[in-house]
Amino acid sequence: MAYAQAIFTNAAIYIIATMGLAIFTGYTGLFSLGHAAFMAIGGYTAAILTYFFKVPLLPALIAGVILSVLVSVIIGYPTLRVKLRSDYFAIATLGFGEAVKVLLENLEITQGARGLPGITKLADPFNTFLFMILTIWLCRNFLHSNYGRKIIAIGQDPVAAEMIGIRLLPNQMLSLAISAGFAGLSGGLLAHYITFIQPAIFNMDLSSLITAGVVCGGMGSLTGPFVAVALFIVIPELFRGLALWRLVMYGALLVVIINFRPKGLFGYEEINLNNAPKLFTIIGITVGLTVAASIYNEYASYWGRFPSVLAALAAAVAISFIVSYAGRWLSSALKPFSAKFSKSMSAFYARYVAAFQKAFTPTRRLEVQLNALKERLAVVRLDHSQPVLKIEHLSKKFGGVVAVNDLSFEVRPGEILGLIGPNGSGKTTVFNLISGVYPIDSGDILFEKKNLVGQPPTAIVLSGISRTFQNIRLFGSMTVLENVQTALHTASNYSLLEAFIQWPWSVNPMEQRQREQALELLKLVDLEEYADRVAKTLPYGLQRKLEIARALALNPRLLLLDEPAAGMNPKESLELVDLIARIHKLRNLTIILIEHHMDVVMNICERIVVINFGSKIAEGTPQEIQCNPAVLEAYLGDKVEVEEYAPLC
Amino acid sequence: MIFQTIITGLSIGSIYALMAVGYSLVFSVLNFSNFAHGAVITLGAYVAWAVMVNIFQLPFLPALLISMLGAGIIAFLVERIAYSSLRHRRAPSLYFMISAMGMAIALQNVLYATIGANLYALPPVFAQDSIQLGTAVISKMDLFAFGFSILAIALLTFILNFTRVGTAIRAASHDAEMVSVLGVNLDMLVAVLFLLAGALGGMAGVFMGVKYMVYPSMGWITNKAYIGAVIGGLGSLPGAIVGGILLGLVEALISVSTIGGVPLSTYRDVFSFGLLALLLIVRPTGLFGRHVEEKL
Amino acid sequence: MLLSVENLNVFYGEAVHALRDVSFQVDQGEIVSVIGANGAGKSTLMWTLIGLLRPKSGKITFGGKTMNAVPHQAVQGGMALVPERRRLFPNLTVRENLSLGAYLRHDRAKIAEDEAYVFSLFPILKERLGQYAGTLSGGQQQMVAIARGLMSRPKLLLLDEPSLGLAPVLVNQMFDSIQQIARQGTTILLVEQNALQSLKIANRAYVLEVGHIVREGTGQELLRDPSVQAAYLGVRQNKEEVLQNASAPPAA
Repeated sequence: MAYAQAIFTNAAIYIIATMGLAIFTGYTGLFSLGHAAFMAIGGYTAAILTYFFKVPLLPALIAGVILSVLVSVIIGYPTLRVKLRSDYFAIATLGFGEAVKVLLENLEITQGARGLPGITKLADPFNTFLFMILTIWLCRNFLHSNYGRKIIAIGQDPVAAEMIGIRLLPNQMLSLAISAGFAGLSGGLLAHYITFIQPAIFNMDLSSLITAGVVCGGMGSLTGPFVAVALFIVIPELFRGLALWRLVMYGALLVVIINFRPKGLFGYEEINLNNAPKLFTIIGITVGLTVAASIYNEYASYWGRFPSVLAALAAAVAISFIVSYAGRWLSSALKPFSAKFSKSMSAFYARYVAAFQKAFTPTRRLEVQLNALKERLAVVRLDHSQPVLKIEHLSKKFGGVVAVNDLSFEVRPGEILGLIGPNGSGKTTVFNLISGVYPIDSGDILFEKKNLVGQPPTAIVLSGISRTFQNIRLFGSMTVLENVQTALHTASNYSLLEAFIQWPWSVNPMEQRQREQALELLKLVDLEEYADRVAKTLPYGLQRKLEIARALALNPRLLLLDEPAAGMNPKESLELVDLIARIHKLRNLTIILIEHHMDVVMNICERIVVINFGSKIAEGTPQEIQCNPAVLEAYLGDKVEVEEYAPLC
Repeated sequence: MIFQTIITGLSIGSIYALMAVGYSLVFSVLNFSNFAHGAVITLGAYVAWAVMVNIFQLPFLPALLISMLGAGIIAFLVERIAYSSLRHRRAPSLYFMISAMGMAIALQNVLYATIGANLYALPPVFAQDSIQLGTAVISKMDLFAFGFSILAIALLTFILNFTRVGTAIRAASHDAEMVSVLGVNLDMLVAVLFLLAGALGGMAGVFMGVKYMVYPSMGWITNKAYIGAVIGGLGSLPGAIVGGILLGLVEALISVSTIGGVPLSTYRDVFSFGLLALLLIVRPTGLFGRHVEEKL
Repeated sequence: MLLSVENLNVFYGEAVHALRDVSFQVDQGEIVSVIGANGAGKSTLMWTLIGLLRPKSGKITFGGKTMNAVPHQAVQGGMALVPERRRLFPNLTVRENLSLGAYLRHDRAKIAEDEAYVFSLFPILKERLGQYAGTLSGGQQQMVAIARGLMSRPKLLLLDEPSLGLAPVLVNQMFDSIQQIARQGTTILLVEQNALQSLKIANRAYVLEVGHIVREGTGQELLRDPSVQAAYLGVRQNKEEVLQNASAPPAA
């Protein structure tokens, strides 16, 4: 019994570190190969405090967490700042892990390679499990907040995340810091549970264990890594003879999982009644193996090797099947109740939130924010005295190729301006320059008199220009609603602490209001019935609409639409024309539209700018453009033939 | 003294370069860091140990060739097991990296689990022979390793620039999909790529085994070769060579330096990684790397 | 019949159905054009024909053989693709680019013959053999791309947007060269945004719309088709007409 207790306590300690890593690696796709070093920092800090300075456990643990977080900031800032490829970041963290180990081996206070023996056993199964549950609760809360959604968004598509105003560096650093913090906590508990630490404990193997846990459990999930690491700790304990093969197994599992089931056990989902049978099957197999191992150990000497192996196998198979089927039966039996249950739960939750809100009047700050969110759908007040956007002598080269060449045009308040030109003429590059994706070689872009040149993309978005992409860039694994809700992050800034504990006076009303607002936006583009669908499973046309809704959530005054009708048939593109016209009217939006469907452009645009080879070749009303010889030549080739086949004017 | 250090640096640097070239070759075409390369190099050294010490007592040169061939085949098998299906599915490069890490962990620990953690020595090629050059004493083995590495890299450069397959590899480093559209069998091309990378890695493994020892975690050293490749600019062949040799020189200098009486050799690896961090901050594409802008 | 495609269905990911039941054929010696808007699936069609994309269902028969989505088999069988945006190897010389076009061939004498042929089509390339492809002008790069395609001595040349990014005067030259290549006996399947020019030189043509083939006919027929004129030649139409044309049943 004491043995089982030790195994499970160990598992709980590693699960704490794994939950943290799931927040970082699982959602950002960046690998921290030196994560054991954060555990080492937390472990040594806490151990030294209780060992030499007789500090109680809790403050010692907190000190360890704080130091881990600080170090992660020092490591994270330079490496994350340059938007490193994920493999460069991995090798940098590997080096960090090595550096910490070398340091611990050579410092006096850590007693070098000998380590710290005889740490007081302050961690026990009870407080360890409490910490584990606390960790899971905090991580879950974090992910269900604006802070969490920002990190999830970055992991799914960093470019799209920047284009809805999410800054990469601070958010990636935050997620690294959180994972480092939990690693520090885990290290502190480990030190006070096993009562002896030395640098060699915090080696590559430990980092590999929790990394393998996150990948095999499923990136983008907390449930998965939890289950995976629990299995990784428990199963090898049953087969002590195979201890040497443990790491071989982790490695092989990584290869197998990523090749055959890249989403792992629970990728991008948490436990629910639909996937519970899967969990039961896993538990069944584990319990079956446990029983099998003990049968073999107990009876091998009495029954002989072969019969006991047979008995063990039979028991394993039987137990696996029984537990697995029991789980399947139980989850299907519970399903009818689950709807009712979740309904009454949410009713209870709403009452609880309402009671809190009644007891405390909302703070001024919150009220302001809630109202700001409401104004998201307000009409834009147009200032007709000046152009909304003024582009002056804009140029951009890629290598030796001129993509945009001395381009000037302006966008008038409240108009829909068509930007057209043959494929490869530089239209999308113009959008990329306006939204700050590429730096500008020369020229100016003035948005409401403010020069955008040199501003980072996120600042440009937040100043009121949002866009859609030619190749749709949604957050594919989020639901339709979450895609829009993520873009509403700018309206609210409850603190990180509030997010971690889901503070009912700020987080709850804000979340609720955001959901309402997101639904409102979905209604605008006729997507409300798809709110709970995973975005990447939507048909093409609807994905485009969702992208427009997400862009609108940023409350833009200027909207850049990059070929919204691409891949649509004439009927769908006409519907889209209606949608764009509706949005335009409803909110007084100024819009620049890149489009190839001439019927779309001609039907909706008040003015058109035509570019070819990055230069403007014509500008005017649709009628003027249609008869412009330069435009006809650019599009159709010879002028004479144009007369013959396309009598336009 | 400084001359001696430079020679030592060049010798270890050329071995780094051999390994770094393997990282760069694979990266240039498949666009991921093959973290399993270290394990392949280690296995190459074990092949040498098997044919020179454990099973047969072959002389050095045939053993070197067999190790190169063995490591090449292992690298090819690693590709087949860990990457080829990802390649056919056009999986994101993150998946390749995870698969590579898994392969590295698994292979290294297979050695622990089967052969054990013992350190084995490879027989010295030139006994304790060394040459006196002014004040410097240069071991013949160092010179030999340096010469052979340069020769191998020259051969590789020839293959890449003057053969059909080589031209196709260079083209694939820019646009592998287009190469396959021209009728090149990508599976074959990638097999050749891994054979080449593995063979050079095997050679490096043997030199390391002679210089130090053969043991399961000797692949750790290859992380520094990877740093060399990154310093030079991953995917660039001259970059890998320059980066590897540069790193060897820096390490040799640090090993003999002291600050306030404290020798820096303990912190040598920390310096290497520090150099990497510094470079990535100043010039993330490395010395010879090219910067690719994403198309939106 | 050189190429026949039956009920081809191609998907991207789970949700995007890029080609839907596409069927068409190309006869020996023809120039066949496929026109359509961006995102209609034109390039997808080309990548599927050369074997880089695996169709979910459908059959591609080329020269009497069923194709299995393996590019080197398609090339061996006699197809060559000149892709959109050219996709030259900028780090290789023009000579090396051309030699990769003949990668699967070993008949040195005939390769030299074909080299002479592409130089007769594009004389300027002969002067640029040693130059890196990345340093050429856009028009010259397009010539190298087509020449590279011809170096495998294809029976069927797939041309994806050869006029893209070319100045109007070069566009006309490019279409002249395409006709010249066809006269030498190479069958051509041409995908173009420049509907007017490509319909003019085409024996037959298809209109691709959101993955469907919605019209087919001779080049001249389609040039006079009002819905084609509206969608691809810029002729103004009112909303009702568009809807009417859209709901008209596609030609069989």
